[in-house]
Amino acid sequence: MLYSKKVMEHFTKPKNVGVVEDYDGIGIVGNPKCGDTMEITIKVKDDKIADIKFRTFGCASAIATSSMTTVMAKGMTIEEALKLSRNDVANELDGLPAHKMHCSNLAADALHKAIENYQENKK
Amino acid sequence: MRDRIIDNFLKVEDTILNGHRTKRLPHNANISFKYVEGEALILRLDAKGIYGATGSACSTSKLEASHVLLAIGLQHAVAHGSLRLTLGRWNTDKEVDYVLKEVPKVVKELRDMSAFRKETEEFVMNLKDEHD
Repeated sequence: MLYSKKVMEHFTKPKNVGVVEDYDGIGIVGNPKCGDTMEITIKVKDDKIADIKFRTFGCASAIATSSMTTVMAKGMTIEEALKLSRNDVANELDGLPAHKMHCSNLAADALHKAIENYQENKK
Repeated sequence: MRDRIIDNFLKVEDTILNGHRTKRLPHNANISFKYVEGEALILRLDAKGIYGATGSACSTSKLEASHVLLAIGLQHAVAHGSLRLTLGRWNTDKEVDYVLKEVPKVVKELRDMSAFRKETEEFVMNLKDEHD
């Protein structure tokens, strides 16, 4: 299996690992088939994602896509972040092996769930 | 050497020996580290010069966990964290020392960033098929 250089970078030195302190929203999603699980926490300020962190149980690609998702989403408005798709994440990593696309699906899903959670908390 | 690997790996928290303790191939150590994913584990070990294998679904193109590990009763998420190390005639005690030092370190690193922990065990074990 061949991962791009960017995937390996984000796998060996992932960015934004952990849990945001006093987070405003949390999203956890998992894939039952492979067991991969991702958790994303966000802090929102002025309708923008001020801070974001992840914890992931999964392969190199799952870790890299989680890391990249947090890098891309940081600073985005809520609206922009909701539009962030798995393809955006995969493209930013210079592509993923075809059977690994579901990993990036999880990362974007976890982000969207965290935002939903934030919106519910706000009500 | 195999026994040294097995005995010391089992001292790491939340590990499971796959297969029988003595009725196994003389050069084969196969251990599951819970809350760790196998492909990530072998790739990080690879970077340190340790070449192992895993039964994790993520390491295959079919995304199916090792049917052998599943058949001996492991749950998917646990089969996910299996590491197989096989010894050859030329392996040395010094190399085993290195493995015993490095593997627990990498396991800890990956566990620290894992979303699958004791607290989320129920969630992970009960994941429903919503993605496929």
